[in-house]
Amino acid sequence: MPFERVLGQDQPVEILKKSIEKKTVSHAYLFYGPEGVGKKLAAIELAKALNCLGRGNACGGCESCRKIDQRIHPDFFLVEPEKKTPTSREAVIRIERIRELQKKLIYMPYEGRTKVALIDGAEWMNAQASNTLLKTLEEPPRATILILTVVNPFQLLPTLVSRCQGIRFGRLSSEIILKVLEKELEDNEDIAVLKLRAERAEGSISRALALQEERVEAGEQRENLLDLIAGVSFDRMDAVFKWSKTWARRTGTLQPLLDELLGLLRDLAVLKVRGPSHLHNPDLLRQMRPVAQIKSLPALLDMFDAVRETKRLLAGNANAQLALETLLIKFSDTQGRPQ
Amino acid sequence: MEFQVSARKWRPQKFSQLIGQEHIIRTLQNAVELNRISHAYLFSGTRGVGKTTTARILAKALNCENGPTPEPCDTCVACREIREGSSIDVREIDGASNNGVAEVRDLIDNVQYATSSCRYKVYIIDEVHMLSKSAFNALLKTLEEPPERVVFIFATTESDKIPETILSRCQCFEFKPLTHKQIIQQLQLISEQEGIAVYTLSLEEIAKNGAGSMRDAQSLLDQVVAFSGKEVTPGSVEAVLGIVGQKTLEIFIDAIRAQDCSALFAQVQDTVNAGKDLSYICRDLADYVRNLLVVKMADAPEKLVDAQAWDLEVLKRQAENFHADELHQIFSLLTRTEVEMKRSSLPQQVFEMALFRLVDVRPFQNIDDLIKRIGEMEDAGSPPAAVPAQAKPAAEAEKGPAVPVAKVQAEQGAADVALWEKVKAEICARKPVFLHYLESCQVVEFSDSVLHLAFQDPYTRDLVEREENRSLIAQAVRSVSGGEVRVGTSEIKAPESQASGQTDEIEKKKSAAPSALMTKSESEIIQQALDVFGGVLMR
Repeated sequence: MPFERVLGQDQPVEILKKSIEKKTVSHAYLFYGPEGVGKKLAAIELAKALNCLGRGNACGGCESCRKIDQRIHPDFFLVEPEKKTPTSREAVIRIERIRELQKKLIYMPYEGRTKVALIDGAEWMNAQASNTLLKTLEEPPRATILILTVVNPFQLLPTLVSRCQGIRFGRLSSEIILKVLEKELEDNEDIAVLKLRAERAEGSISRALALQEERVEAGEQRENLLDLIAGVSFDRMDAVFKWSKTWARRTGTLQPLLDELLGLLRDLAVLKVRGPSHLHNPDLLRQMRPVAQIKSLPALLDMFDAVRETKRLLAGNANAQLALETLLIKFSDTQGRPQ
Repeated sequence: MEFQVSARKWRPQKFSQLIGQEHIIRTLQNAVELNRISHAYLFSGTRGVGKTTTARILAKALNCENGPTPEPCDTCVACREIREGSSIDVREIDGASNNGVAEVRDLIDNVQYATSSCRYKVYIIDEVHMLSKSAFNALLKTLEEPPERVVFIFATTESDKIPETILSRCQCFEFKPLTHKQIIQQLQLISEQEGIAVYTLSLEEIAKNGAGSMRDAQSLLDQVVAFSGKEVTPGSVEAVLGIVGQKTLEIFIDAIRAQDCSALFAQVQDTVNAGKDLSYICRDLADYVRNLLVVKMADAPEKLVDAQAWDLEVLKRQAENFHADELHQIFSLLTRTEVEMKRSSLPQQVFEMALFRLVDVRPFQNIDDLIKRIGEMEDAGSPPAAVPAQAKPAAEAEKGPAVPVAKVQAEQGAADVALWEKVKAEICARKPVFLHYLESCQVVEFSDSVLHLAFQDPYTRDLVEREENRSLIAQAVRSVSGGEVRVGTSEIKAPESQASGQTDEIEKKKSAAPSALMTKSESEIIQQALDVFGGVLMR
């Protein structure tokens, strides 16, 4: 069965299946949706289905499917963002890669039936690369399919988007993430721990898997963060400076940490207006309740905005300590807001 | 035959099939008819409005076997070749891929040769805005005076990136975005021909999301058909795009009006669970608020709000509940949120918090009203002015008795200070290092026979205490005032100074009082600093 590996994306899978059945596969697709929900996987499955030699589409067992899985199929082209030098900050897709791709696409399929070019992370194409792709994307050579995957279609050139058939991928339910987690992590952890991770993954598998590293560390800080939200004030500036100094050194953990902070603030606000439902941190409910009591909603909203602003500044390479101090001073300032 | 998407399949092949852009078509057709064909054209406009298509049709019109004709036949060999992109004389160049000066030189080299089978040699350079600066400049001379029977057609979405020297050599045509009506008509035509049953409401929805671009709309149509098959129901457009209908937006607005955060939050969860895209909802919500505002402000909203897509009655009812300023506020917050959401990795959080904020900013005071009310209050008897008038006499009465005392002190002080400044200058002239010592000291007493200085710290005091320094000061005083003084020193902190023997009790109290006051306020400051910053005081 095609696409059985793509979990929880009924609508996109349905569309693609129908298109294959009716032979109305478009020459250019834009798969868009949150990170880590199966866009790339679906694209690969589509490539398999179009080239499968076995009986079922994308059987997974035939030579073609295996080759695509191993990325050695001559008619399957994968373009991914890559760093110019190992020390570059950002990986991008450069014009050379697209030109290379265009040259390869001119020829007829070598082995399979359809050439499939998958541009994963299309938002990382730079301006030249995107523009170069335009003509190819509008009228590609025969027996060619181009698939672009992107988190946010608004980041692409509108001229690119308009040439593709868009397919929207939604976020995954936490049940499905739990299923994947159970499969992926063999050293079976406590089911409760996995469940919590699935819930905190925001519908993204890559987020759930990445929860292991820095996120875990940031996650462990949640109670401290909660204390910070509750306790920070102009009377305790020493704590402010100490905290900023400690965390400013750990630039790698800072963004996940601030994400946790956002999640906590959001939960507090939700607790305040609605009570315990759909929380990101259901395990901390007991600790959060008293904090939600003492903080006013406007104060929480102001804090939330302040954290977002800090995140933006840090992404722009601002001085971490100054940014954090400013953040906490803003936190203290919200104390004065009326209930 | 290989499947083709609608945008390619239904690409117009004749001028008569082209939708919108009548002003351009007419100009071009007349040019062909009157044999006044320019050698360079520039087509600009947003995506999917017919630039490349027009360029191809123009090439056909020039090269059609039935002579240059205002309407190509699309059946002759030349037309067919151009349509299939295999014509030798009509070359379509991807400006973005061939953007260097080398490619342009290549082109210029080939321009001079005569045509092989067609009447005109046509170069269509698409995405021409991506040419490099030197590539553009290399083109200039050829573009100004190309060989006979050569026509350049440039197409671009970004005409502002084209150098002015190029622009001035071309006939420029600005393609307009298509109206909803034009898009809907074309979509209807396509769906009829393809045997797709589709509601007008769905087409309306598609056209709206196409935002003036035919290709966007056609891509969307393909998308929807791929989802729902040949029967397109009103719900399928919403399902494919992850947008919501007016009903949901109404609920959001009602909840904001009722300041019901809980309901808002529940609504967000519902929409997310239904697989909707929150950033679209945010956009649509802003659009909805815009409609509310229009309904509220405009005399004839029917003309400004698409009455087919929106239920005007509901809009009117909801608009009545809001003040125009509130709608403005909500709108600007929503548009800001939309941008934020696109940047954020967790758009849902941002949207939720923005909604809470919408409820939170609701109770606001209209500034105009406030100003008006202040104005009214002022007119009614100016109470704000009356308050200081009453307070004044009281303050004066308090001040009254205090004036003589202060005056006396001030007069004495003034003489002292002036004299002391002179002495200080004299001392410093003799020994510059004193400038620093004396800066921080206080003159406790300065009479004809005694000069008493108080210092902040024992160290400076010890320095000044030295015999040579004391005599230096005494000398300085002598040279300024002519009098002989004894120099005494003390520390500010210790009221019972060592030099107290030289001053009587009253003097001592006088001198102690201000210094004690000073000390207290200083320690207060330090204490405050400790409170704020924490830490230990080190001396």
